[in-house]
Amino acid sequence: MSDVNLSLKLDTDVAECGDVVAGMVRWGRLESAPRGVRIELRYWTEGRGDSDGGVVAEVELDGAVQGAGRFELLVPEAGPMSFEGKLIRVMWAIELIIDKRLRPDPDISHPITVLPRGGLAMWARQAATPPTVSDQTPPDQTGPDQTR
Amino acid sequence: MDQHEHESEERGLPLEHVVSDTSDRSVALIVLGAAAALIALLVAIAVGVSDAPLVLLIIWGVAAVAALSVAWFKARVWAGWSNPQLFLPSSDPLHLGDHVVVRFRRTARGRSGINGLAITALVRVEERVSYQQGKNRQTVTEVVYEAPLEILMNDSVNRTIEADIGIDIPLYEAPPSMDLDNNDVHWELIVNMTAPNAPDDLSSFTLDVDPQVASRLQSGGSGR
Repeated sequence: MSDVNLSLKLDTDVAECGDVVAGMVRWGRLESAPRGVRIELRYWTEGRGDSDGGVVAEVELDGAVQGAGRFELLVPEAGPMSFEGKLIRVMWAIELIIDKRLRPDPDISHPITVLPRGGLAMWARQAATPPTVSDQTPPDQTGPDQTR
Repeated sequence: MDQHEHESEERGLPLEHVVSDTSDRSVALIVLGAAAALIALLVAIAVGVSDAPLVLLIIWGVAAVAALSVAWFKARVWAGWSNPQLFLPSSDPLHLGDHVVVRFRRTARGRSGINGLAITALVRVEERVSYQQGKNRQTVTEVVYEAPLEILMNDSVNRTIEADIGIDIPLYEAPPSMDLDNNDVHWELIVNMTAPNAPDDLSSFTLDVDPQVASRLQSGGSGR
């Protein structure tokens, strides 16, 4: 799996509830054509309680030994928004999954922060950094890009 | 629309959405507890005092008397007041950073006067989580935000108490409402009425706060 090349690049890793998260994926050097290539938007909770969460949006791309594609995923209007409370932490991520036949599925994920509707403009106007969940990877200057 | 709603609209507060009180469920629980303790006591007596340990009978008796006393106390409050009502300006959920004025209303039943009544209110946000531990399901609750609210108007017409309450929904200090299987964020408005020689009366209303910044802040205002 180490020779599999996956790349997930988001236009932005901060989105509002009800917004679209868009980006680009690339994959290559697979031994054979996968059954499918899936990009998922999911959230999950961490903390004292049992975890909740799930995939809220996904897109499928045609499987090929190598390829690239652009995607757009809709964050639900009802959220939940990212936050870190006393008992609960809500996390969001975009995940690229290569669905291989009878093999472990290589995947790559990138955390995103989901703000309340209207939150981006407000934080931008105040020239403040949007609140991110503490252990999420901060974006670099050229945008989030991870290659395995 | 009744007479009071006309009066409220004349004061400039549109009354569109009524939220029902959630605190009276405790009365049902207390009455059930009292009934269960009484039945247990009567069964023990019917089976025969000599067959039941004396200590158990005493515990049952004390539990029954205590629960009935509380039930009587609650029943007096219930008999004294109608169900509390809360009127929101809109049926839409509240937003982060919102400032809204809501109206609390309660009517005395058969009382000649409601002199000396004082009303206080607060907003409280709780995180509630549940988890499986062995065969048991545990629930943990933590208050993450609590703030006293300003009573803008406190008036009584005939035997009806009305209070306008200003609610500031904080922008940063608390997350919006969330209702998942094991993880919840619960917003609550609690109104406390106190009067001389009368038991305190607590009413609790669930508030629905959306993950959305209030429009007045989106258009150029600043958050708290």
